[in-house]
Amino acid sequence: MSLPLSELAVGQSGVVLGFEYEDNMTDRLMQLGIIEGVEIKVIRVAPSGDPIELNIAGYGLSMRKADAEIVLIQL
Amino acid sequence: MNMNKNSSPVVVTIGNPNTGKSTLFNTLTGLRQQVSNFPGVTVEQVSGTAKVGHTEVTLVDVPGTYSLTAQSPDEIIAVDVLEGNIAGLPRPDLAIIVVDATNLRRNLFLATQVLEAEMPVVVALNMVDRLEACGITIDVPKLEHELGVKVVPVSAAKGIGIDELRVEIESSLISKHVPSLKVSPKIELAMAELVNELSARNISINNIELRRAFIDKDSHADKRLTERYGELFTSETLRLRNSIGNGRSIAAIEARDRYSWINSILKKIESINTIQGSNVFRLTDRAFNHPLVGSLLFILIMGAVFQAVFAWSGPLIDGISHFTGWLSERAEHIIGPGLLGSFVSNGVIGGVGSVIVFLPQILILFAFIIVLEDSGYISRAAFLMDKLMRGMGLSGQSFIPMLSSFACAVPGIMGARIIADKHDRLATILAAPFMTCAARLPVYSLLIGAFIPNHHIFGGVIYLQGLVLLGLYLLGIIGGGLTAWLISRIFWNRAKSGFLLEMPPYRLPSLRSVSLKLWSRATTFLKRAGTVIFTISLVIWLLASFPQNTQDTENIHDHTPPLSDSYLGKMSRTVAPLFAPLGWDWKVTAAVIASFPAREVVIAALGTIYAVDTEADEELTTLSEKIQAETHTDGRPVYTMPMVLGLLIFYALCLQCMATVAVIKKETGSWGWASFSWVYMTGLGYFGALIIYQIGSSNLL
Repeated sequence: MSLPLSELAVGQSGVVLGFEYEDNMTDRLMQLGIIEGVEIKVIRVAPSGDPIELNIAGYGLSMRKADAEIVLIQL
Repeated sequence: MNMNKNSSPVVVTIGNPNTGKSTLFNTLTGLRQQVSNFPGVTVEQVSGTAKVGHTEVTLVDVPGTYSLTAQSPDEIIAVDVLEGNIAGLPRPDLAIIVVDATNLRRNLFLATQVLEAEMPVVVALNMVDRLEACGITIDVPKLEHELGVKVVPVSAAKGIGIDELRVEIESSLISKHVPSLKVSPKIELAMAELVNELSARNISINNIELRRAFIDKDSHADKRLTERYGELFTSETLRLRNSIGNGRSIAAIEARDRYSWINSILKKIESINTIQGSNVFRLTDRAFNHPLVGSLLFILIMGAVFQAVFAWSGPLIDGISHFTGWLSERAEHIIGPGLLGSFVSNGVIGGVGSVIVFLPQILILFAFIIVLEDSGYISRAAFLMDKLMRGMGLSGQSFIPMLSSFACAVPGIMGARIIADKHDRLATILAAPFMTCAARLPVYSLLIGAFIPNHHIFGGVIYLQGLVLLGLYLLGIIGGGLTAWLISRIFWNRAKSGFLLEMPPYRLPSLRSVSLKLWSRATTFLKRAGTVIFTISLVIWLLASFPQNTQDTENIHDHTPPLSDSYLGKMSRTVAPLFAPLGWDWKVTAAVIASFPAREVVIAALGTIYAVDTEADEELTTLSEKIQAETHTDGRPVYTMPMVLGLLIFYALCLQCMATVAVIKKETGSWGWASFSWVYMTGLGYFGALIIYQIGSSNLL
């Protein structure tokens, strides 16, 4: 099953399948290691509900939900 | 040929943020650093000298970046240095790539980009002391083999491997061995064709610049080459991008090829044994990230920072001002009362004193920020603050520059370089000068101490004076927030997003690294702010001391004119009617005008004005007593409550700081924004003071 990264619950993890569409933002995400085949885990959500903190194959990165919607995840 | 003035080899340190790159730079250079301004570059560059074997090298530190696809101004600098595109700084002879050993995969992305830059490279594999705790083993000889360059395991924070690194730097400078690694066959084919086509048209471009321009469409490098070569360049790159891209961006092809190469070599050289990290850090992490506990801890930490900045600096500030006061008196006593004595004691010592008096607060705040950065907490603070800052049209990344601005807007505005989005960055730059900086405090303490009664309110828990001070802080925060919000409304963009912030693991900051960073930031601040404030103090002294009164025979030693006849006095009398609706007389006007270049000068200016004033009552000694007794010509007191409140609001909102105006011009690249900021803030201050004074003086209250 595939779903947007923004919809993963805290503690859930999955593997990047691809992107909803590709643009400058996805180029940036890929440079940071969010790329097909990489395992991503949702570590926590900020108390205000946004942004979210992720673990990307070993390092922590926080991003806004609006950006996480583009990333497609295979659970 | 080496164009560098002392003709020593130029070595650049480049790497991801949070890899300990600055710590390594500081360890290699020690205290031999300077900040230089290169013509045509909007930001300055930190460089220093380091001894490697028998060679003295010029080491240049560039801001941390994740990719050579330069987006933020910080990243553009990094790439410009590497490409040799900075006037006055030759293309580096060697690059030291600083790599975090505990996060090889992402760090190797930038590393392989730099390895394709066609210059000698040494890889510093940093933080090797943490590998064991992370359960990671790295086969260094195999990594060297795959990358084709020397890899030196180091721990910059602990000083491990530094001598070995120096040895490798020296031998690579001698051998000039250039790595031949190329990870994307597709891009290499296109590059070879592009170079051929362009050289057939007699265009020869430095390889790394051409490569980045080709890969990163619409990037800084692409735009520059398009501007330089026009149609010839764009038609060729467009054709090749289409032929290999098949509708995908070249940057996406680069990222996919690089990561698949990195994944393949990591299988050979890295083994991860997933034992969990240290328990203390995991417990800290859980507490800091608990929604309620984490938010409370955040408030507690910020509270502690401000408490320290204000409470601890008090005695130091008093000590410094007493010392400079004493020194100034001694100087006047030794030299004698004439012009030279006044120049040395009021101009030179007074001027230098007005700069160093801020040092305690700035050093304490810088020390806290460095500790928060090095421990990894500052990213958590930005994470927590993102949503709130977004409400003001900013982002979590604006939090750090805003926090620095509570000491001084100059480092705050420079700190905004980390923000990639240009409108977020502009909003941050224009909001930063509203934060209550160290220079506003002496003005606040003088006026609050002299005129606000020290009543206890709410059952004795809260002091009225403290409440007024808090109100002024809030006024600054609200003013900055509204300004940022307005800017973001003007440039509102639906698609705006892009808050991507690394959350480094918690680390215990090392005393050595913190003190070296503190030294480097403090000296940078002193040089920048010091020269401006010092120059202005001298100018004010000149304006207040001239024209010299040579006809005065009663006092042969002191030709200093009465203040009202000096240039400063004459200027103030001319513009005084403009400030009369604020309840100011010409002396207050003179002090305020004198403090436009640097607001803290107002204290010295008031001191000079009331001390020089011959009508003043000899028995009133402190400045506070003097201003309390000051009256208009008709006997009404000058400093009434509405006037004092108005004056406080004026100082809270007005942009009375030449250094800030200069740094806004530099960082936005335009006098337009610098003048806008000045006019806007000064206007707010004037009308704020006008409204308060007029309402307060009428019988409405």
